Amino acid sequence: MECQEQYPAVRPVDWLASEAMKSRIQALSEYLAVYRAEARDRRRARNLRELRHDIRRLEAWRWYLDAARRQPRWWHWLRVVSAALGQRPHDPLRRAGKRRQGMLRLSAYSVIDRAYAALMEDCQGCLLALSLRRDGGDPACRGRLADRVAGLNQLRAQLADEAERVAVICAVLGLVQRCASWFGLHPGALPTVGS
Amino acid sequence: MNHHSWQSRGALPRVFSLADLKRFLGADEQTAMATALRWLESGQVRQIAPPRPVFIRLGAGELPDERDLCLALRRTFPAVVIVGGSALWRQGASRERDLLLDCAVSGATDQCHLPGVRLHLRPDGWLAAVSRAHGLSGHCHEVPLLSAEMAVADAAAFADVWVPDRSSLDWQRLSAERVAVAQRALQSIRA
Repeated sequence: MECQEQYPAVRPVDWLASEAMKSRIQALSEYLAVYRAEARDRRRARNLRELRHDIRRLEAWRWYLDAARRQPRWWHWLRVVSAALGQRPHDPLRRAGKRRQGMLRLSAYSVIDRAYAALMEDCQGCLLALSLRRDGGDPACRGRLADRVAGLNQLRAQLADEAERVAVICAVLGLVQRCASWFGLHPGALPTVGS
Repeated sequence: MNHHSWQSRGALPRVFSLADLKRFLGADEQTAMATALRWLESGQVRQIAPPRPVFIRLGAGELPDERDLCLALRRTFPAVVIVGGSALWRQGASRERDLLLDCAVSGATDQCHLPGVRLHLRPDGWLAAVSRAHGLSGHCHEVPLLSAEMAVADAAAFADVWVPDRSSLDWQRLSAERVAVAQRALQSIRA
């Protein structure tokens, strides 16, 4: 197992988050390719729609994470807006009245959380495979994998704290991505420099 | 029998992921990892394709039935597809049965601990090209099968899967036109 290549030395947590999004998008895109070929009945067509929706949300969140490194103007604006709109309601009655919004938020949260969990389980699977080797595997590699697991645990805890804010970000960037695709633009091609 | 054994709880499926184990044990990450490692070391459980975190309960020399085999493959490789002679036989286009289940996967894997399965690596874009060319047809326990024509085109393009002799193929079930379409679809990713 090429651990050194596969798991480079400690990376900031946002890299790890972006990597989790990337690998989950890839996995869901593979499911999508299979479903697309067979989406003949209603159940499969619904799965196809749900998969596309999940992929869009993951792409939106990945876009936000990648932009965090450059911090363009729109990113600062979105951060402020999402913090304002995505506050947790303190009043339980108000909260109950926002059931639909709450479901959307929970859904965005669970899609992203699943992506973090999937990468974490991959790392843990790797740790188990290393443990079964006679030499126990390279200690440095084991250390890096353990760091990644800890980083992903940290990301999941952080995500749970800001689930509402994440849902707002995914909704806004998802809408921008949709508009961009209507005009035939790839989200990566959208203006980023100080925009 | 230790208190973590699935027999005492009776609910852990034959094929399970690390997430299933965590839920089943209701324990923290460390406990779940320690339990998985103990089971792997004892040989009661196999990691299907390390490092992917999916496992199967399988005794020494025991062969899983096709349903468990397909479930294990599907959970380990989201985009697994049955190819070659295995697809042809299951599509009714071959009179010769496969000895090993030939499957195509997109992610590199060093080893697969499932008896009776042979994995073949396919390049990125393969599944999308196959899907665009309507090259999937039917399932075997929810694992998609290549259509008979695409199975022939894929075997010719990659030359790494078993296919039966020409005399064992049912040519009435194979459309030469569709084989040509499938070949063109695969040429785009081989180029």
